[in-house]
Amino acid sequence: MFSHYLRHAARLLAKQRLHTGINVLGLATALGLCAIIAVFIKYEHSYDAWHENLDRIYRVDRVDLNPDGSVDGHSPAHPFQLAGALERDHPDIQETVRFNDTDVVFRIDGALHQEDVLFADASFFDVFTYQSVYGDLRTSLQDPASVVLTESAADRLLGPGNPIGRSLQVRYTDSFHEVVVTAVIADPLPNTNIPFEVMMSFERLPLVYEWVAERVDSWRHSSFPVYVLLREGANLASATETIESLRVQYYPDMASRGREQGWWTGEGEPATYALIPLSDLHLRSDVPGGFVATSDPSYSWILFGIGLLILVLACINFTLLTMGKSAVRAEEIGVRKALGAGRWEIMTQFGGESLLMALLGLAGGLLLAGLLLPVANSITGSELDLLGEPGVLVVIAAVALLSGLAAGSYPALMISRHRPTEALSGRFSMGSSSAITRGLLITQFAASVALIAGALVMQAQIRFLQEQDKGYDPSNIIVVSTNGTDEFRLIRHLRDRLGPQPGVLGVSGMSLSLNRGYSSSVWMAGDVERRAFVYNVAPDLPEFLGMDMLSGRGFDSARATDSTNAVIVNEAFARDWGWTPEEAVGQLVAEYGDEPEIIGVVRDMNFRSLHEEVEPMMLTQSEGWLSHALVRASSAGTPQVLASLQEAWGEFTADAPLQYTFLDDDVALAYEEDRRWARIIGISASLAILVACMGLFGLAALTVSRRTKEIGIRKVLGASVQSVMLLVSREFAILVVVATLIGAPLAYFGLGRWLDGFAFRMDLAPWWFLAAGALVLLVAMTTVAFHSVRAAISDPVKSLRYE
Amino acid sequence: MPDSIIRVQNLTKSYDHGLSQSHVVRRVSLEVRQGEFLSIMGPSGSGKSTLLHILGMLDEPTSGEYFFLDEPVHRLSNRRKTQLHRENIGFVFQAYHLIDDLTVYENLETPLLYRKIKGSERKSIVADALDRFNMVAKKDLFPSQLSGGQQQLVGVARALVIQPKIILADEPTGNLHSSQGDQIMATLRQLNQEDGVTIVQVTHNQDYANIGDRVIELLDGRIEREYRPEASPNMD
Repeated sequence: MFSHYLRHAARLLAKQRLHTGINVLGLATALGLCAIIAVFIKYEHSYDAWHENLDRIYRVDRVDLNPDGSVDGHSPAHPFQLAGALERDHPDIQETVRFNDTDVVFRIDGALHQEDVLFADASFFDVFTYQSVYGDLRTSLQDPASVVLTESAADRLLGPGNPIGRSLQVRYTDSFHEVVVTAVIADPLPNTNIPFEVMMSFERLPLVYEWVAERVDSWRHSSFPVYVLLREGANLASATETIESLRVQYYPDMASRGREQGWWTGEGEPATYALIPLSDLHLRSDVPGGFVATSDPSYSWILFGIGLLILVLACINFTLLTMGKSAVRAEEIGVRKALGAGRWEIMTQFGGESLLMALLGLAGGLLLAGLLLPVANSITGSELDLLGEPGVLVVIAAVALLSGLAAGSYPALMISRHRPTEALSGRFSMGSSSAITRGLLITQFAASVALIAGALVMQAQIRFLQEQDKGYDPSNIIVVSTNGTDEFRLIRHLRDRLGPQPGVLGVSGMSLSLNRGYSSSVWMAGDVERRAFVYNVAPDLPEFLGMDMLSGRGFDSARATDSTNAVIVNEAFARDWGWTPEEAVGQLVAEYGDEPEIIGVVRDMNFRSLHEEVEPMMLTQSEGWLSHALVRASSAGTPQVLASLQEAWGEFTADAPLQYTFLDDDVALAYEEDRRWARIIGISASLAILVACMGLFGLAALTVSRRTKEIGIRKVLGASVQSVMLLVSREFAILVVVATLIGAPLAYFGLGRWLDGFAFRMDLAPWWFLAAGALVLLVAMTTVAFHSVRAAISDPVKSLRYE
Repeated sequence: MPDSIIRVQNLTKSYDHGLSQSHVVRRVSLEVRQGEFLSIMGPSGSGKSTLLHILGMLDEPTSGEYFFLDEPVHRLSNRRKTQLHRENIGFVFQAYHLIDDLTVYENLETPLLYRKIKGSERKSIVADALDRFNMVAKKDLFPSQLSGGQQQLVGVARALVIQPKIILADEPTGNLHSSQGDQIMATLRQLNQEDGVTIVQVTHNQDYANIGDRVIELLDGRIEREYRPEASPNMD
C-alpha cells in the first residue's frame, strides 16, 4: 500500500517538475538557512560547555555603584591578593585562578615571535577541563618557568613532535629568560571565554612586569581577573557576601578615599560584588567579556526570527502552489472518491506527498547548509560545524517534516472536502483569487519589502558613516606599535630613516591609536565632574593628521613649557567648559594635573566610532608614553614604504618583531559589527525575495493556465498583446503595492531603532521604502512577465481548441 | 439478504441560485432488486447522471429517503456511507476516469487499497482481473497508451475488482465506437447474467438500454415512463 502511494507520488513529482522544483528549492533554501542559524545559536549558547565543573565556575565581578545606589558597571579586575584571601578565608570556595593576558616576545631558534600569552595560576587545570596531548596538566604550571602550549601553537612555534622539555627564550625587563615547555593540550573548542594558545605561570608575572611587582601587596590597584570554583552545594549569596567583607577588611578606606579624591559622593560603600556563572558569561551583554567580547543574545533571536520568516515564506509557497495544482488533480480526486476513498484517505495521500516534498527539501537544505557554512563562518567569525551537531540535525529534520505537514494540511483539507461529483465534472477550483491566497502572497511580499528596505538603509548608513568628515585624514597611515622598545628613539629613528624617502609624507607618534583604545580621565573641578579623552602625542601630530586648528597654535618643540604644561583641546572640550574656541585659548584646565594651559583648539574630530557623539578631548605632549609611531605614505608608495619600514625596524632592534596596522582598518573595525549585520540582512533579503519570487513564478504559471481560455477569447475579440499582459500582471501588481504599504512601516520602525544606536545617522527618507517597494514590484513583474508574455503571444486558436 | 438493493422515496435534488431554485431531480421513487439490470434514459439535462451519482453516494439528495441494502443512507454518517460505498458499489464512467499517472495494474489495485486488502491477496485479485479481461500484457502501460475501448475495459475491470453487489455505469459507451461499445455492453450483460451483479446504467442508446431488464425514462427530473424492454414499442 505504502509503495503504491510512494510510486505514484514520485511519478507526480517528476511529472510536475516546475511545481516540485519550486517547492523543493524554496524549502531547501529555508531549511539550509535554518540549519546554519540553529548551529550558530547552539554555538553561541555552548561557550565553555565542555568544562566538567562548569556549573561551579564563576567569575568574580566588582560591581561599581552610583551614589544613588544604582549599578554603574561591572569590573572583573581585582587586587593581586584577593584570590589568596578568598581561598584562605572562605570555606565555600574550593579553588581560585588569577589571570592576566598580555603580548610577550619569544625567541625560538633565533627567530622572534610575538605571542598573546595568558598567565594563569597553577590551579587552572584543576578548575578547567582540558585534554593533555603531552605532559601532566596538574603539575604543568607549578614551576614558574613553565609554559603550556596548545597543539597548534606547538606545531607553529616548535614544529611537529613532542616538545616537552624544550626551552624557549622569553623577553622581559629588556633581556631574554628561559622557560620550559611542560605540557601540550589538544586545541580547545573555539567558543570559549578564555581562549589561549600559550599559557605561562601567573607566579612569573611579577618578574615580567615591574608594575605587577609594585602592586603585589596593594589592595587599591585592581588589575587581575579572578575565577573561582565553588564547592559542591556551596551557597552563592554567602560567597558573594564574603568577598565584600574581605574587601572591607583589607581595603577599609575605599569610600573615604573616593570622597577625598572626588569620585565618590555616596553614603555607603562605592562597590559591591557579584559572581557571574561562566556558563552565562558569553551572552551577558551587561557585563564585560571574559578575554573575548560578550555577545548580545538578541542577535541570536533576530537571526532565529529571520530563519523562521524565510521558512514561513517557503511554506506559503508550498501551500499556494499545492492549492493551485489541486485543480489539475480534481479528476483524480473525484475518481478516487468514486472508488471508495474516504476523506481521510485523500488527506493522507496529499499529506504524504507534502511530506515527501519536505524530505527532498530537507536533503537539499542540508546540502546547501554544508556548502554555505564557510560563508557563514566568515561572516560571523565563528567556527560552526554542521555534522558535529546531531541534535541540531534532528531538530531541522523535525522542522522540515512539520513544515511539510503545516504547509500541506490546508490544501489537503480543502481538496478532500470537495464532493466527488464536483471534482469529476471539473467544477472545482481553488484559485489565486481566494482571500487566503491573497493574504499569503501579501505576507510574502511585505516581508520582502521590509527586508530589502532594511538592507538598503543599512548599507546607506554605513556608507554615510564612511563618507562623514571625521575631522582628520586617516588614509595611508601605518600605525607601528613601539612594542616595548624605546619609543622616542624609535620615532626619531623612523623620522631619520623614512622621512627623506619619496613615498613618505610624514612620521609622528601618539599614545593610543585612534579608534583602537581610549582612556578617559575624570576629575572634579570645583563641584563639577569633568571628563576628557587624553591622548599623549608627538608635537607635530595635529598637522600630521590634518586636524583643523580653530584658534591658538599647535605644539612648538622650541618652547620648553609646551612639553610640560600645555594642551590642545577640541571644540567639545571648550563647549563643556562654556568657552568659545577663541575664549578657550590661554585658559587653564582647572584641577587637572598641574593645571596646564590651553594653547589651541581643534575642530571636533571623530576619534572614536560614529556610534558615539564627539566627547571632550585633550592632547598633551610630554616625554614618555608614545606607544605608537605613525607613518603616512603616499597612496602609490605604500608597498615601498612598508619594505623600508621593515628594514628600518630591523636596524633599530633585534629584540621585538615589527607590528603594524593601517589606521583606515582600525577605523573600519569600529563598524565591523554594523557591516556584518548589513551583510546578514542583505543576504536574508535576497533569500526572502528569491523564495517569494519562486512562488510567484509558479502561481503565475497556474493563473495563466487557468485563464488560457479567457485569454484566447479576448484575443479573438481583438485584445492586444499589451492588454493581455496587463490583465495577467495587474492582480499581482496590486498585491505588491498593498504589501509595500504593510512592510514599509514595519521596516521604518525597526530601522529607526537600529539608527538610534548611532550618534551620526542618516535621514530615514520615505523614498528608501518606495525604492524597496519598486524593486520588489520590478522583480515580481519580471517574474510574472515570463508567463504573461507567453500567454499574450500564444495562438488563440490553439488555446480554444481544447474546449 | 434483502431482496431490494436500492429503494428511494421522493428523492429530490435542487440547487439554489440566490432567489430562484432549479430542480434537477424531482420526487423520484424507485426500487432496484438484487440481480436486476436497470437502464436509465432521457435527454440531456433530465437528471440521469445526478440520480446515478446520488444512488452511488457521490452526491447527496436535497430531500427524500434512500435505503441501500435496507440501510437508511439519508441518515448515515459520512464514514458509514464511505464504508457501504467502498464495499458494495463499482463505478464505470463515460470518460473512463482512469488515473493518468497510474499504470493499468495500479489503477485496478486502487479500490482494493481503500478496502484495506492485504498485499498478497491484492496481487492475486488484480492478476485474476487482468486475466479475465485479457490485459496481462498491458498491465504496465499507462492509460494514455491505450485505445478508448481498452481504457473503458480497464474501467469496467476496476469497478469489478472489489466484487461489488452493484455496478453503476454512467454512459459507459458514450465515448466509444460502436464495435467497442458492443463489447463493453456484452461484458456488462455477461456480468449480470453469469455473476448475478446488479447493474444500473445511464445510456442514450435505445439498443443498449434494451439489454436491461427494465428501462426508466427521465424528463425534467421526473420519471416519465417505465417499461420492460420486451413490452417496449421500440422492440422489433
